[in-house]
Amino acid sequence: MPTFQPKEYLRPSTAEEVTMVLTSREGAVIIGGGTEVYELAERGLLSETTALVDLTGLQLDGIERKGPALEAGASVRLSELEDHDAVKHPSMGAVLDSLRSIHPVQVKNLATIGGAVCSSISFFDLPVGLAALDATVQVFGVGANQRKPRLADFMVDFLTPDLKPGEFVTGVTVEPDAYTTSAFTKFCLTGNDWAMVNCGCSLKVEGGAIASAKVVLGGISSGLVTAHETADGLRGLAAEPGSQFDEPAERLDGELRDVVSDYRASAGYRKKLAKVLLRQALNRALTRERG
Amino acid sequence: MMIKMRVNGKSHELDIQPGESLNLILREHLGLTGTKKGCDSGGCGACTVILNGRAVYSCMTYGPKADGGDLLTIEGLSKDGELDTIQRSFAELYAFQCGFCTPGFIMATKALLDSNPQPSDAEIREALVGNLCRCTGYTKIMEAVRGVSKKGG
Repeated sequence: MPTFQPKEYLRPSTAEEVTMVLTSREGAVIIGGGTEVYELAERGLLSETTALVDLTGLQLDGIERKGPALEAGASVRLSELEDHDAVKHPSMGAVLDSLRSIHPVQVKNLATIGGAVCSSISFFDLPVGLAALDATVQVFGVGANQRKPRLADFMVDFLTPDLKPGEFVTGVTVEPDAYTTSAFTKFCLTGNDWAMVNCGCSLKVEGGAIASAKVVLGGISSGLVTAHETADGLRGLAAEPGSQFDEPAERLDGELRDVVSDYRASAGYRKKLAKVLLRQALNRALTRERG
Repeated sequence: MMIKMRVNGKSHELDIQPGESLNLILREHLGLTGTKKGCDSGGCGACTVILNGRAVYSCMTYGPKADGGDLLTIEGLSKDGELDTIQRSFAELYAFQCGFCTPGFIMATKALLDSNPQPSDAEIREALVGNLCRCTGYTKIMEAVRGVSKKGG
């Protein structure tokens, strides 16, 4: 039985205090909604954790529009984001779809945005929805240093976010106006299952054609996959719901390399799923764009 | 560490270990064993309680995170010996057999109907997808939830 016996539960009230705790106390770990704590502990991954650091005192629980940017704090719960008017615009469809696809509600009521991105698990749904909208992560570090890496770069590997010692995530930013519509789709085996593969796409439609696009997939490799070539190939295509999108699907097939193969699905099966999900996401986004 | 919680309308001040789950706090510190410990990993829903108006898995809720929270458990539903309308509907429509999952289903239903008194079947399924039953089957459970919503909860 793995040991998990944290001695302290800390609630700093400033970002500077958080970085001080993280750099001065060995074994101090940030806790988000806490939904993964016991699972990670059961797998022996928290046996060296001596203190959990709760960010509630920093009041990172706001969702607000700042010019073209929409910022959501790290402590915002997934159910709160799903209920917020900010995600109801067609351009935020990929985020809304990803939130609606997460089950059960008992988890959404606890899990936070910060936890979802810092877990750095590519088949989690919200990160794929956010990355489809070019999301950046707000990182606070030692010396009050702040940086904003792209979410797709931030999730380096399985359970490995791009965080240096003393750094932590304060929020996530997207710029919804860069696209006119977006959507998310996934495939899983049961209502509560993790996605085997998931796909988010954002489109800017102008004059009845796709002017620009972004395609992001999860469950394909240990990090998020941004399909640049596929997105480039979408430019200029008619923005017609119901299209087959055969050429973009084949382009995606050629673009996906080093696809993971494990007990849940082979690499080949995942690639086939990715093509189906891309078609579904594109059509869902275009249908949404028509209102 | 000390935490404060309001559980079923009663305030408690509890001395807990930092690693304890809300499920353990309810069952071991407060003796509220109506909230079940099932899979203990967020997969079965038998431990569902309502925290600050929303359904959560108590086994997944890190105990100190519930500090200052307002909790409702299955023990808080009946009043003066009278079953709550949801409990009565589950009993009258035979929506349980062994009963182990029932408190979780009832609390998930309570959270749903508090925010949406007239849910569609799809909305009921959505709200209960995180609760598993291994003997009754879901048809009777759906009937019980529909039965409450028709009566106006």
